[in-house]
Amino acid sequence: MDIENILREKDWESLIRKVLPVTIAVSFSFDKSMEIAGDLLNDSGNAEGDPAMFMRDYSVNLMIILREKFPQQWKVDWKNEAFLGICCNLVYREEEAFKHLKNALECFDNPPQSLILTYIRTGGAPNYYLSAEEIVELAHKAVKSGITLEMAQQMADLATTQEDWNSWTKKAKEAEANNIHTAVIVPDVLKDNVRTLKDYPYEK
Amino acid sequence: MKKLLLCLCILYLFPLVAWNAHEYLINGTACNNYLLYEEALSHLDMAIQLNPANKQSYEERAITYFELNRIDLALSDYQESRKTNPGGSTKRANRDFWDDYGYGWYDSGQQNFTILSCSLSTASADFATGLLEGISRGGQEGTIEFLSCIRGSCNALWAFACSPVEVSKELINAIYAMGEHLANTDTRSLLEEGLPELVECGRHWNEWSHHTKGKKMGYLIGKYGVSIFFYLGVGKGVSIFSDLKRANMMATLERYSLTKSTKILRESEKCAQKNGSVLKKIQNGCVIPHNANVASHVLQRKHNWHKMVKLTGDKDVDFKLVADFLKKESILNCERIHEFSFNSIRTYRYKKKIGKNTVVAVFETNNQNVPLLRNAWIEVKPPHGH
Repeated sequence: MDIENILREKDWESLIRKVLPVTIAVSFSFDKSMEIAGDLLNDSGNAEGDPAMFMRDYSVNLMIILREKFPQQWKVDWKNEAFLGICCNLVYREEEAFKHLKNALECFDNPPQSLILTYIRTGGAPNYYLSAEEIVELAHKAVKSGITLEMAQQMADLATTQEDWNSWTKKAKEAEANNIHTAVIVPDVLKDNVRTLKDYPYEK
Repeated sequence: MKKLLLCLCILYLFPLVAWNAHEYLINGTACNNYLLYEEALSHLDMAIQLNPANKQSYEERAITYFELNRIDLALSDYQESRKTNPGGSTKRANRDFWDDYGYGWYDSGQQNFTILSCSLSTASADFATGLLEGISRGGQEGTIEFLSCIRGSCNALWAFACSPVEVSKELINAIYAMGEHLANTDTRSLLEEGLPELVECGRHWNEWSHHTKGKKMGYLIGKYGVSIFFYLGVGKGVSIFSDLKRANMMATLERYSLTKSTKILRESEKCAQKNGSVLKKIQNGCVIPHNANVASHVLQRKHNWHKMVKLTGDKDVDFKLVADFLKKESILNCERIHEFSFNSIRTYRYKKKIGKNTVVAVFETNNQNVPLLRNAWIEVKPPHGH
């Protein structure tokens, strides 16, 4: 079995069936292994249903192993931990998702808006890990970094009065018209392989 | 006297029959344009029955069969359309078939496309060269097994970029027209579709060279298939999309008729059957789960569905009840929040307030921009109430 060949062909089915994630982690560098995880995740978008879930699950498992095997490289970029949390959410591993996002959040005194919003959504779905008060407090912290479409929509969602709701909805529309969006969290190591929605900046 | 009566019959009845056949053809074509393929088929059957000599009816029915995934019948009608009435009145009939085509090839060693244009202008040839390059690149990014898929996400690839290629002038013109349409369409409505490449095309179309225009449009088609443009199908876009789809199908059927790739045909049919059934359900407003885990996940106790739906305890029945509930509440028509995007993976959150509770549903769009349900729950506490 030639892993290089499987990877060159992007034969993901063979990879999942025949190669353990740990084998990838011991055979390749951190960057290359992360690239493989990213490729799997990316191509899972074109494979619907269960194959997509197998690919994503494999990608998450690989990242978890990389986190243990290359702790130094992993910790260099907080987005690795946050991205792992986001990917855990994609495969319904919500507790793990929340744990990794919380770890990423704890790296900061003033966490970036993108991270807070992701953390709120994960923790607040469905109102399970974070209390309503915690969510409101975090959202007010995030809004200090500026009003984007996503931020304004989140604030409108939390509004308790019709007046507040109207005001945030108006701000959301303005942000949308001016293409002001919250940054997207993608690890530095995957940046070259990623195209995200236009007008959405990358988190630095 | 008998002869006179016979002449009168021929004089009066023949145009009537021809007119009826023509009317059926027009109706069939209209149904095709509005994706009503079953209806189109019955009209076109009648058109052919009344006037079997009209090449256009066969061509139109080939499109219907193609869309209904009856590829063998599509191919047979397409071939019939080429041999019947060669001097007829349709666009291409009085020209040699190959006059409509430029000839080109792909040099895998040099990674270059070359067009040897016999009937295209320089601008069109530049556009076509870029188009081929873009389709190949888009196709490589679009699907894992892109060569085995000739319909759905990559239906243009087979006709274009497999081997030595023949580029339909009609197809090139149709793609160019779609680019022009993008340039004249409000970019925000394009962004709504969550496809940055479309927005880019719309914004920069007029600044690009013909080669870049071709490359960008080819990339879109290679990656998503021509059906991506259906979502822009408003106003003028409908007819442009319809021209593009038609030209693409003709190019694809031409490739089929030149090859005997039955394996690819079978693969394609399987793929198209799956995509077709999902699309049909979505068109009817149904909520389709993204994967097999969705039902179990959605029905967790903490998701509070028992507050809104009378659950039975049977997972399949209960999930259907939830899906029907989301359909009834037209959740996909509510405002959506972009949640996550990573290349082709895009998730959106939809919310709707019902009484004191809020219904939340997370959908992921697939590569044809079709929303598939990933998660859904009821927020029962009203601190986020409006």
